[in-house]
Amino acid sequence: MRDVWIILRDCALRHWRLAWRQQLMLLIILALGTAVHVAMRLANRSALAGFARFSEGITRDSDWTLRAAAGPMKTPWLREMRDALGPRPVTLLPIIEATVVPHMPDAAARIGSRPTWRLVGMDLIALQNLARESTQQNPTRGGGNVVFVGEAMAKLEGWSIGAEIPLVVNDEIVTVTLAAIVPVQPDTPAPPAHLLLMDLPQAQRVLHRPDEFDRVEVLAPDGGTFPKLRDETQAVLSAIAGDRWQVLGHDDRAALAGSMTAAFRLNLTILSLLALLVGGYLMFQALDGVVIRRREEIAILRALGVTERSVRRAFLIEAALLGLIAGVLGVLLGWAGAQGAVLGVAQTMTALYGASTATFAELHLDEALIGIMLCVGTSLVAAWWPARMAAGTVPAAVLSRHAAPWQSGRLWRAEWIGALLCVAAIILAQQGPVTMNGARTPVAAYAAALCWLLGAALAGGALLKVFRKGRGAITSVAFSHLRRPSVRHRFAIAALVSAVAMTSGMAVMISSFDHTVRGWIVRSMKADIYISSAGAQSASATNVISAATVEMMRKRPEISELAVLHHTNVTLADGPVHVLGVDAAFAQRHDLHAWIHQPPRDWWLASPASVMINESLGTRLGVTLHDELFIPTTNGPRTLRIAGVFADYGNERGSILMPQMMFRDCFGNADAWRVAIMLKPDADAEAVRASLQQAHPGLSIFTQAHLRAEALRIFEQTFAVTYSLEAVGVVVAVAGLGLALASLMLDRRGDLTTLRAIGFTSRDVAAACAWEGAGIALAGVVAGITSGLWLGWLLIARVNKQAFGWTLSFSLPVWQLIALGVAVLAAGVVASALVGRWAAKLKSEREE
Amino acid sequence: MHVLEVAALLKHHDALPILRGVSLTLDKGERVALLGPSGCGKTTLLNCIGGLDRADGGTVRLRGRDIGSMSSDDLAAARRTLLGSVFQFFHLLPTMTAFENVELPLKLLGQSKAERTARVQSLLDRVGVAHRADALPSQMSGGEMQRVAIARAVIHKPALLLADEPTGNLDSASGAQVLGLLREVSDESGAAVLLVTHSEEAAKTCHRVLRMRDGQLV
Repeated sequence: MRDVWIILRDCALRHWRLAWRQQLMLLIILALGTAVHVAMRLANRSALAGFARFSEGITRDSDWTLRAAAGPMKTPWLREMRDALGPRPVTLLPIIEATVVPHMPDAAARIGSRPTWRLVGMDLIALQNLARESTQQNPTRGGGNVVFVGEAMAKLEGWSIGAEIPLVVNDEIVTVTLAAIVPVQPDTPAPPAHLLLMDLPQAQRVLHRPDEFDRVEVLAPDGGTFPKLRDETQAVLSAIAGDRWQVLGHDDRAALAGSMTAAFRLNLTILSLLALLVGGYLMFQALDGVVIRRREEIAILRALGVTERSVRRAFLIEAALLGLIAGVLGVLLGWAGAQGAVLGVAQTMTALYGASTATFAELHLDEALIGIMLCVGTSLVAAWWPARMAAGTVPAAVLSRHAAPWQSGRLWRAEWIGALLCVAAIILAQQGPVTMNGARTPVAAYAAALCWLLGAALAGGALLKVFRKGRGAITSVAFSHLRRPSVRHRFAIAALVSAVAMTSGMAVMISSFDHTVRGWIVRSMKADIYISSAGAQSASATNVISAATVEMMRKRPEISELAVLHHTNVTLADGPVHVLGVDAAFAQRHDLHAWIHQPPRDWWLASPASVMINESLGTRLGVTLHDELFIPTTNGPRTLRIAGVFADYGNERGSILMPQMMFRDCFGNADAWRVAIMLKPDADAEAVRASLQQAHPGLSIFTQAHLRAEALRIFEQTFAVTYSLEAVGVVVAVAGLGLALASLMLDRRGDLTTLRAIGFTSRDVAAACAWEGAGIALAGVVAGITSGLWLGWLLIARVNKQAFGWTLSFSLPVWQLIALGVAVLAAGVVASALVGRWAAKLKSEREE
Repeated sequence: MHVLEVAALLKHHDALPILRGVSLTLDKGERVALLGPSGCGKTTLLNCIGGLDRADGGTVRLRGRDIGSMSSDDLAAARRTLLGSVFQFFHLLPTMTAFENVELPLKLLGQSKAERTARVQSLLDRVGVAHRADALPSQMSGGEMQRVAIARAVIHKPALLLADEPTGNLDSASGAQVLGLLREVSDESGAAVLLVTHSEEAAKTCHRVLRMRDGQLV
């Protein structure tokens, strides 16, 4: 180890001081990669935590949660549970909840843009306990509706006790009074900044749901007379549940929340790792250059008796040190960046899944350590090959200034391995998904994508062999290097192929998605006006419109047709499923569905048990046309028969679509979830919308054009992060090409002198370098776009299909791919020309 | 007019003097050997003459033209037409075959393919490596590489051939052959040769011998 220490102290650190700009650049490259990774993770975690907090409310520490298998829970069930539990000291806390939004008459009509709060109605005794802890006076409790909020929310909204808060509850404006502010207590979870607490009966009245609640939180502390109280409680409550409710533990709830956002989290994690990968690649290129610059010094050390192992260790330790410093810097930068990213991620999650309240990303020690460890790990991986190259320096060759370019890296020259990996990818692509925690994960498809990328990257170097002898002196020199590519050429091509393939694959997928979704939106959104509760800020919100409001609207003279959509959730195969009650005749008349398996005409008349399912549900449950489906309903389990399967790109969890009569029979609910209106030919949609909005301020009312635009905006918002990271990937690959060429030029400094000696001008040297770079870029673009097409197919036909159950039609974004190719080629030529200009000024090695 | 005329050439590396007022001339067809110990400035002198390095003082005239006043493009043009270089370590471009290496200077001069092919084949034949035309440098022996390097140096019929220790990396038999070859091509083409060497034997093949010590001709 003494050798290693000497190398580090007397050589490496001295280089750090002398070439501090280079070292700083290295640190920044690696720190930025880590920062992107950490920022995405922290923002994602914060948004998810907000989502989980939103879902679980203030009772997240309960032992068990009881939820109805279908529809709401009923008050008599509570008495039944109490009786079954007998003298056991178990607390049953019934809770009713709904998402509400502040009434903002002038708010912009962007879906997901309003703050979304959770109104939780719970037992009065629990509320009184909370009120006793309040440090402030409790105002009069009688009369109007009163709420309690935490200190965080009161501070955020600037409320004081007695404040009047207008809320949109379903389709009504309800003004509530702030009764008390719950202070922060040590060792007690503070109510989050989106939670409004209300007395249970008051909440049931406000929500027009008498004798109903959504869940029961069960608190069963172990000890005393009942040492196994938790387990007993679960057993008793499960035994009497029948088909009516489910008993969920903490792990089940976490798994449910996790499965709902699994795809989104996986997407972000993969993208953030990609950022670190490109940082590592740039670092590899930079370290490669460092080794070439220090080759003579290494040769001297080797000649003086330093072993290969010491040289290798010294380089790896230096890299680890760089990684450590960059990791700490990256974590801090990432934490700062996460504050901006968290808002974007939370907004996307709100639009896609429901609600997230995150506005600030905390720095978690485990995330920081993971970030630093990944940075050090990336740094070590990036340094592995340069360290090996440094250790393999032959002193005699270098010291006699007769060093031939390093010719190892047999693996990278093995194009057949690349071809083999591509074949493996094709085989893997035929495999099905793996189900984990209730979510289908296309593991084999992801492995196929990885194999394909690696295979294409390895095989991409073969394209260089198509370069023939150049006509002029400049192209002769440039093409001679391409015909016999070094490992560095292959690395540069591999990076370009990977980046271009990923970008073009994503472009194909997004184009196909875009094409399919646009077609679906045009087909399914044919009504002139769409109405929902203003509280429904996401596709899965459960807020309803009362039957009375619907009837009022139906009487308006401008309306030719009005269709109501009913909605409830049931649990099938441990996951939530939407059940929709539709006006089937209306849907058929206007041809609203894109069919995977079209049902017969007037299908709802053919059999009383006929339903439609969406494609996602069919894939998730493994059922298809004519199969039977058993679902829980508020009136007992029902057996349904699948009469058709429709495409649905708004919901990956699954939907069952049944005629309204059947829906009412199963769930007894007459409230509307959504309303679609067809206007008479002479009616002005915008004027009707404005008039309806004035009459019903608690509703969100959209014209067809606006809703279509909003649907597309949410779709594009989902892919915005993907686009920007892919762009970063391409920029980094081009920068990597520049660095690779710089290393090649340093390695060939002797050849450059030879070229000058036989009459090459500086311009000629730069031009030869530019041609060489252009050749690499061209090969990278051709191989990248070609393999990107297959990758696009894989994402569409396998990853999407397996993860979400969506069938997408293939759409080739020809102009986008051409633009990508031209951009990469142009950037590659410019980067190479700049390197060439620098190389032309390199001083001769042959000086005495 | 002299092919080469060097007058009072000065060159420093930082404060260290490398060349201290070197003056010499070479005429057409003349072969001059430059002998001296390592570090005496021989290669620096060659680099200054070849325009690969700029002198700090004095003049270098190639066929009467002062290279100190030339732009870098003019210098490159002078190297394409007037100069040929042979190095101790051959410095063939490793990714090009023997044929391509020799052909390269003619490509720079814009000669037609037919013209180039005939000339390169003829010269490879003349230096005795025609059978290695398609071989890469890594596939050739030291003697073969140096023959190819000499062919590349004289393919465009330069007025001055700069040879920096051309036999320094060869065994004695190969070295003798290379020196013979240099003499022959010089005689045939009329090129002046400035031969940097440590070897008294090599110096005997030249018309004149110059000795250098501490940056000066002695």
